[in-house]
Amino acid sequence: MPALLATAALLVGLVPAAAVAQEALPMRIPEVVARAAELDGQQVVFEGEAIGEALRADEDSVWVNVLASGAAIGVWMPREMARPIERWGGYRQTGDTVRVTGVVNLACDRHGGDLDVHATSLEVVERGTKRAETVRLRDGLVGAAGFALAAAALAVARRRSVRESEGE
Amino acid sequence: MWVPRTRDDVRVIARYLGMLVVGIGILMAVPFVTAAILGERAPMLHYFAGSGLALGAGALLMLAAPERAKLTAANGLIVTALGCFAAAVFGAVPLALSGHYGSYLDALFESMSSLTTSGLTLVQDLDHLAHAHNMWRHLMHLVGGQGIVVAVLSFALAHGGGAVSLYLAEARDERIMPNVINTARFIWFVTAVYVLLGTTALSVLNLVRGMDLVRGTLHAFWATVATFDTGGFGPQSQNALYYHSAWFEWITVMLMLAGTFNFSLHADIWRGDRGELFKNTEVRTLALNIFALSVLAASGLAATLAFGSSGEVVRKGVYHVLSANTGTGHQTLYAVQWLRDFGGLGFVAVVLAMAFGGMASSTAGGIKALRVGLIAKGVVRWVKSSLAPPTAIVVTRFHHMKSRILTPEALASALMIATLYLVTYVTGGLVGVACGYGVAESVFESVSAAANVGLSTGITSPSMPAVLKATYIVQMWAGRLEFIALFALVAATMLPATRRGGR
Repeated sequence: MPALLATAALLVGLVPAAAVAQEALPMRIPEVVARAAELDGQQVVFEGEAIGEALRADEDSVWVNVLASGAAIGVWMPREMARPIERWGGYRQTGDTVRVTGVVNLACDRHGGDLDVHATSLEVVERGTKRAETVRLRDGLVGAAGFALAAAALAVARRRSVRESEGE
Repeated sequence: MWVPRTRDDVRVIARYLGMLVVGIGILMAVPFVTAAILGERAPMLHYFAGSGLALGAGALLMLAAPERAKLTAANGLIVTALGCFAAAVFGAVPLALSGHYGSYLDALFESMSSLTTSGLTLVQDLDHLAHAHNMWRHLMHLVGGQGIVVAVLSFALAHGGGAVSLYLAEARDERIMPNVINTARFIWFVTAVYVLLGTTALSVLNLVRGMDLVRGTLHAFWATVATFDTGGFGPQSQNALYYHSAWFEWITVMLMLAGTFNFSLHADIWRGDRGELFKNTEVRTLALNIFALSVLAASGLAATLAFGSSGEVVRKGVYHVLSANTGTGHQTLYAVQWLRDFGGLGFVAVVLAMAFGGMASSTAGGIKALRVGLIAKGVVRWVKSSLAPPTAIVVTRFHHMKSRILTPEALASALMIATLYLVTYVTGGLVGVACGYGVAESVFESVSAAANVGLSTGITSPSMPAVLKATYIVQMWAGRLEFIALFALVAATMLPATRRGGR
């Protein structure tokens, strides 16, 4: 009986804890970087935009750089894990937002001592979108005025040059 | 006796300044074409506006004096100091229009950092910046690294007197070829060779790693230019850490070393004379400097126990000491890691590496290895003289392209410039502390700005006080010109212009 009670107590204690861990709010990337020393070797969850492209690390793995709150971090993962990412952030588009679960390495032994994250799972939580370009007429007018001024100055310089050569 | 500028001097200065500004306007054609090819419509207009403003203002300034006006050495100093600032002012326009900078001051900081090959940045959301803007940031590195005046010299000036004045005023005291225009062209030739080699190697690497052709080639070109010109900008916010590649680091190490080499040494190697490499006092000083500081940095890193193998310690230690010593500023660490994970010794080693700098007449900044070597030899001579009989004459020689005697004038010049750098480092550090930052970070950032390095502990950010931004702008400007041109400008500004010449 005491053993049964102890098991029940353990289960009651464990199940909510696991549920809480699953629902844990993702960390912010600047926080992961700032607290890397204390998080070294621990599993973290964070969300951010996949930027650039998947960079080949070796035959089976890639690097995905993830950006959020002004900081980006390199996430190393199997090639297959990165496949769901369709849009990569750049000038023309915002990349897919991904939720990464992975282990933080303050100075990764496998990757030359870099601060990185080795992913255990990746989920696309939001698709990226096209970024709009703001074309302002004002910029064109400023440029046109400048070129007109340059042309006028060139004309004055030419006239001076002609006068000087006539004077000689 | 102070010699004031005459009004004719002011007109000549304005004319040459106008030529430099026009040069910047013409250079903006490169990012404009980049934007046009890649269909980046908004950046196209930013460069149309920037180019128009530069051409208009430059052309007006050029009207100030007749075409044949000659430039004296003294006026050349003023043109160089003002030209660097004017280039930054006009170079900042398209960046300010991009919407990626908090203010025009931030954009000016960026263009000054770029032209002086410093590499400190205030850009926001860099990972979404247009290719055209990245092209401009890196192109300014390229032009600044060769010397903006050298750039204009090579393509615009044909009259020797003015050309020599400007060349010497831009902290380049060696003529590699008999003619200064040929020297400027040789500098561009060496640069073109390295840029071609670096871009090819990094392009192949990027393509193999999965980048598309356009991005792979552009990233390769930008990384090459930023490294060979010891600038340190990158097209991604993580800088060199974005690539997660030992190959990238090795290629950039080679480019950093090539970039910090005196162009006269490049000429010797080009002519097949490799003996100079082993005899040259500057090469020896730099090699010793890099070795000693790398050992110091590696010791600091090892002491933190964060790194699992000696390979990691050497890779991180040597890369960052080289990056600091050559004035490049690429980093594979996060800013917060400098104080936290690099260890006390490592931190000090990197600050010293930044302060000492690379070689004279190269694209690097800082005190420069030749001066450090001369000061060290001067100290040895001092000790020798103290121990020698009173009648003995102690002669110290050093080798720099040829065997030379260390004269009191050469030693005094080296000491004076080194002192000015130290005063600038301390002053910037004091302003940082006054703005509420820690002493160690403030000194690190100040040395990084004045030595045109670009490594950062995180102080340099859009949220730092405007007074600190302005301080770093002046430090980058003064450091690149090695002070004398800036002092000449200040003196000339304080003395009223006289009506006539005839001194």
